[in-house]
Formats: sequence, structure tokens, C-alpha cells
Amino acid sequence: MQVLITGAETPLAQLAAARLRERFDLRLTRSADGTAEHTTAGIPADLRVPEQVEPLVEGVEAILHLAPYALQHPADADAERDVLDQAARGTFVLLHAALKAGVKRVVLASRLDLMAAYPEDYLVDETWKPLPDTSAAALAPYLAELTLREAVRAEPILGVCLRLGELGESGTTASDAVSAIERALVMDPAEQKYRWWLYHISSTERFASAAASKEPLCWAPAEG
Amino acid sequence: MPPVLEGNVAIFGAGGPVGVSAARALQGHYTLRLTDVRLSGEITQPQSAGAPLPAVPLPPNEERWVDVSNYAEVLEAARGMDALINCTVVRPHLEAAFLVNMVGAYNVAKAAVELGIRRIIHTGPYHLNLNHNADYWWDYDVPPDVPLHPGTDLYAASKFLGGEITRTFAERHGLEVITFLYCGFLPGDGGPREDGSGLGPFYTSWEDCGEAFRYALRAPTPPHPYEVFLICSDLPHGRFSPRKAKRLLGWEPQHDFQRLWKRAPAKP
Amino acid sequence: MPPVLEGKIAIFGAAGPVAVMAADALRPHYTLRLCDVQPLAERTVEQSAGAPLPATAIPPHEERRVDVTDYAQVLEASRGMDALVNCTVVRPHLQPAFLVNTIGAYHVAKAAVELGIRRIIHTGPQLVIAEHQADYWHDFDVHDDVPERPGSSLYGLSKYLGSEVMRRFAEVHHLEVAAFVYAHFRPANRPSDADGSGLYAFTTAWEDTGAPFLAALRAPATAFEQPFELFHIASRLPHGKIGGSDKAQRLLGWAPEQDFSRLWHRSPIVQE
Repeated sequence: MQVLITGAETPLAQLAAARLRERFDLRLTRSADGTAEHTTAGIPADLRVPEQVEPLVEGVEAILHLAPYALQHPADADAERDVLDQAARGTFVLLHAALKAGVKRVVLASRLDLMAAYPEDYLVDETWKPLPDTSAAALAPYLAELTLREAVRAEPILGVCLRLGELGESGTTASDAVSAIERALVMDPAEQKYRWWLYHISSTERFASAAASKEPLCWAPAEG
Repeated sequence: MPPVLEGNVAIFGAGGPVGVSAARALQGHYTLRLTDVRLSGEITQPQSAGAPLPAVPLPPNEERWVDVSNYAEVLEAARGMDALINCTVVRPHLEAAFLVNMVGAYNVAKAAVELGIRRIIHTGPYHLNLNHNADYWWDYDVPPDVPLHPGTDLYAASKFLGGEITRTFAERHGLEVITFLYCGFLPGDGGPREDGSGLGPFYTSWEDCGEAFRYALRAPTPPHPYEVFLICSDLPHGRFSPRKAKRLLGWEPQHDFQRLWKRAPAKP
Repeated sequence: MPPVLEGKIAIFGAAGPVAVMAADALRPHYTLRLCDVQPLAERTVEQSAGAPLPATAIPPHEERRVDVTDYAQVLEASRGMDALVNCTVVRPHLQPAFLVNTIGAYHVAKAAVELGIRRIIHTGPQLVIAEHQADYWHDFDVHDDVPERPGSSLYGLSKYLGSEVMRRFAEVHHLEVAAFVYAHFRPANRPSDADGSGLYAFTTAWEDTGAPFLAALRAPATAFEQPFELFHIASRLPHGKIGGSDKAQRLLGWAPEQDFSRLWHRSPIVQE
């Protein structure tokens, strides 16, 4: 299966690519804004521009849209604008190109930060309302989620959203993140008609959720 | 029409736990005619753990065998009443589901009109997820007035039709129909569930369930002939809220199941 | 927060017809700062037949060129204001749609928070009829608070994201945001509209468009049962699909006056 990975310059995408390249035929794309190291693998593309995205999705069966996961630190108002635009328009353009090219599924990496406003002692799971902060950085993954969620209500494409913690022992370990991504790529909803699937992927107690362990994702964190 | 502050109230489906909860809250305030296809002595198994069981009514309350799918029986049971409450439900059986959930609702509304009874409390399910993309499984702040999209689920579809029939009667004949929607129930203390075991976004305590009926009978005329309310705990999930019931009926839940949706304290 | 009974109001997107009607309703009561990316005098072509065109600002009202995609400009335009009205919109063009509809909303909300302005009126398209299976086209009595269904369209989604950003700012920062959504506009009584020619199920008369803005500014804080309240702003419609909730009447004290009745009554048979 040919899989497109966005955000190739990000640690999450690099981890995912390293793990998945044995099993899948990968095509990587990295940000074209000049922030990526020039040695980073991946086709540079601005996901907001259809002409740049359309070639990326040709022949692709699934997209790992990992770019929205990367935590941005916009320094000024112009940078904030770009962060929001990348998340929203970038996801929108990617999705439309995917639909046109017959892509079957989009796996989105979002952030558990969206749920962090709940008190720590609340047993928050995927059925709880997201409460993002109003900074551009916090809103960005939320906008990507909304774009994908609403579109898949209306369009024949599967959207699987994995909310991940910060990469590491106190959030989501690299191993857990990548194993969840791999499961999301191959999970089979079978008779389920929903096209939107949302999971919390956490290596700690705080956002541990039973949903991910059930069909169709069938994912569990690594032991220990 | 003035609220029903006293008088006679018939409960259809009084053997089920919602009907039992209603009866417990209303007895002593109203004279009840408790009707069902099974009498209280026949119902010995709770519908779920902690669900209430009917008690034999003491005079002046009475019990009567009524098949809600039979109009003549419904009409006679409704005669002399000041308000009607319809808690009837059948979930898994095809023919019975339509006869009870849909035709039964029709019979109750029709009897109300024939007898000049204006206030009806109708009950039904809110289905959290129906396995299609037009449901509200992935929505937040879902209002009580949201159009129900039952899809092809038997229970949801048959109850939906009953609700629509009742709405039609309400709008055409100037009734005052208050519809309560529920999802999951638990005893107010969370029953046998362990601390920190988690809780879905739409639950009602049995105790709160009953009290809402008293408020619905006593509430002033609602703004629309058919008003829907989510009778639920005020949970932190950000998905379903009882605030419309508070605003129009003055009812608010007393139980919030905190011990279930808060992390259990670490054991020493 | 008390209602905004007087003072200064900035209207972003002031050249558009919704903003024109808002300005007409507010002008006698407030001092307006009419902001748009284009000079008002350059808007000379109606957006649709019968849609209002802007008038230039006469003191004490002022006009200002503001690009809502530029935060610094939005912030300066908001400075000294008592409330903000966001009527900006771009429909068909990909990049500007996100910049204006999504990020523009972010800028307006952020400026309000930075300047301590609590009340915002935000506008956008209805997102309950969206030509897909999960919308509400086949439903009736569609309440203002139903979950929106933008689908995958550029205009719908970009505006939906802007609305969600507004909602989140309202919730976090205790703002009072009234969001007005619309579908189709027409004049209340256009001579060229034949009797009995029919009426779309979510239509707003231009004549009904301005008064809600005044009502929303003057509504008490109790009107905002939630920090973000969305209203379907429609005229009195017979279809039973939209507008029957009376939410705007209950919370803002506004009800539409127009009903287009000659359009949806069967036209009389003319005897030859």
C-alpha cells in the first residue's frame, strides 16, 4: 500500500517512517517553508496549495497527516496566522486532493493537549468535549481535527484521528505512537458505518482509554 | 392551561423502572392509576442492576392491566385523569416494538384529545450512537431539540415515530406534551460500579428520573405544544445538558456520579 | 457585563450588505468605525439583486481600511471600541477564504480579549443545509443550537472553523458572542417577484437583517446563557423548517417582521 506522510521534517514523522517503511511503500512530504533541514527526506510542498498537493496523492491509498501534531511556537501575529492557515487550509486542500485521487483513508495525528484543561482527576476519554486553549498553537490541531471530522461525515473517506501526548514517557512514547499509527493504517471498520474514528493514545494513566483497545483499532500501549 | 398541581394521573408502562420512578415521585401528590401489561406482583427482576421494581399500589392509587396497543383499553384507563404519562416501551421485538412504541403513543395521544386531557408526559430514548454519519456521536453541546435521526435501528425508529405522532397531536390539538429523553441509568450513588471506573456522557439517576415527572406536571405551559427535554445528570463531558429542563420545568438533577468520572484516590 | 447601550462599535467587513444593514440599524445609536479592505465607495455592484450598498461614513462615524487577515490592523481598529461586529467573508477563493473566514475570526476574538472588549457579534452562513446526508435539509423545527454540518465545502468549512474559534475564545475568556447565521437574502417586497413564485425555506429579508444587531448589543448579560450563542436569523417563514425556535425572541428580544406572504400564497386566478 502506498502511503503519504506529511510533516516529514518532524520527529513523529521520522519515527513513523522508520517503522513503517518495511511494510508500506512510503512517500514523504516536508514543509516547503524553509524551516526543514535541507537534508530532510521528503518532497517539499506547501499543503495549502492544490497544485503542490495533487501530485503527492497520486496513487496513494492512505495518508498519514502528521504535520498538525507538531507543536508550533509562532513568534508574532504573522506566524500565528500561518500556523492556523497551515492547519486548516492545509488539511482542507489535502483532503480534497485525496478525495479526487481516490485515497481511502486519512490518519491524522492530533494532540492530547486539547483535553488538558480538564482537571487531572477527571476520567476524560474520547467522548468528552475538546477544550483547546485559544493560542494559535493550541487551536491548530483542533482545526485540523474539525476539518477532517466534518468532511468525512459528508464524503466517502475514512478519517482516523489519534490524539497523542508529548512524545516521551510522560505523554506518549515513540513506540506507542508509532504502533498506534500503524494500527490506524490497517484497521478495518468492517460493518461499522462511521467514517470518523477518534482515539486517545496515551502511555500514561491520565488519558488512558479503553476505546483504542477495542475493535477496530485494537491497540494497546507497550508493557512497562 | 394551568399546570396539573393535583388530581388523577395515569401512568402507562408503570411496571418499567421509569414508570416506577415516576410513581414513587408522584404518589402522595396525585392519585395514580398504574397501568401495564404486567401487574406489579409479576415483575420481580430489575431491568438492570439497581433499577427500581414496582410496588403494589395502596389506595387511593390503583393498578390496572392495560395493553397500550389497544385503544379501547387506553381510553378507559385515561378516563377521569388530569394528565397522562406514557412510559411504555418495547425494544427488541419487531411487531411489539411498533405496536407499543408507535401505536401506543398514538393511542395515548388520541385518548387525551378525546377526553380533553391536555398534559401528557411522553418518554423515549436518546441513542448515543446509531452507527451512521448523521447521528450525533461525534458532536458536543447537543441540544434536546436536535432532530432525531434513528437510522434503521428498530427501537430508535419505532420510538421516533411514536414521538412524531405525539408531536402531531400536540400541534394539531393544542396539547401540552413534555417529552423526556434518557440514555443510561444508574442509582444515584453509582450502584455497584467502582470509583474511577469511568462514565459515559449521558446518564440519569433513578432518583432524579422520578422527580422530573413531578416538575413536568407542575410546570407552566411550555412555549411549544411539544417540548423535548434531556433528563440527565449535569456531566462534565460537554455533550448533554439538563439546562432546558431547569429553565422551563424548574427541575435539575441532584446526582452527578462524580466518584465514577473522577480518578479514584490512590490506595495507600 | 452590562449591555452596550451606547458607545463605539467597529464593524469589520463593512462594505458587505449584511454589514450595511447592521450599520443602518446602529448608526442612530452608536458611533461607528466602518472597516473593510476596500473603500466603501468602491463597492458599487450589488452582491445580489436588491442587496444594499454601503454609504460613506459621515462624522462622527468614520471609515477605515482594515485587512482582517492582519492582526495589527484589527487590533488598532478595535482600540477604543465598546463592541465588535465581524461581517467579513470570502466565499469562493481558497487562500483568502481561510485567511478571512477562519483567521479573521481569530484576529477579531483575540483583539477583543487583548482590549477587554466583551461583546462581539459574529456572522456567517447557516451550516444546517449543506447538501450532504448528515445535514438537516430533510428535518423540520431545526433549532438554532443543532450541531452544525459544514460538510467539505470551502465556504462552509472555513466559516465553521472561524465560528469554532470564536466559540472557544468566548468560553475561555468569558466573552459574550452572538453569532448570526443566514442562508438566502432578498428584499421583503421586490416588485419583480411574482405572487405565488415560492420562497426558499431559509430566507431573510434585508429589512429584517439590521435590527438583530441592535438587539444583540442591547441584550442583557442574561441573554448569553452560554458565552457563545448562535442564532438562525430568518424572516417569518411558513415551512416549519427554520426559525421556529424563537431563540432570538427569547434571548435578544428580537423577532422578524417580514413574512413574504404573497410569495408563498397561491396567486389568485386571473379571470380573462
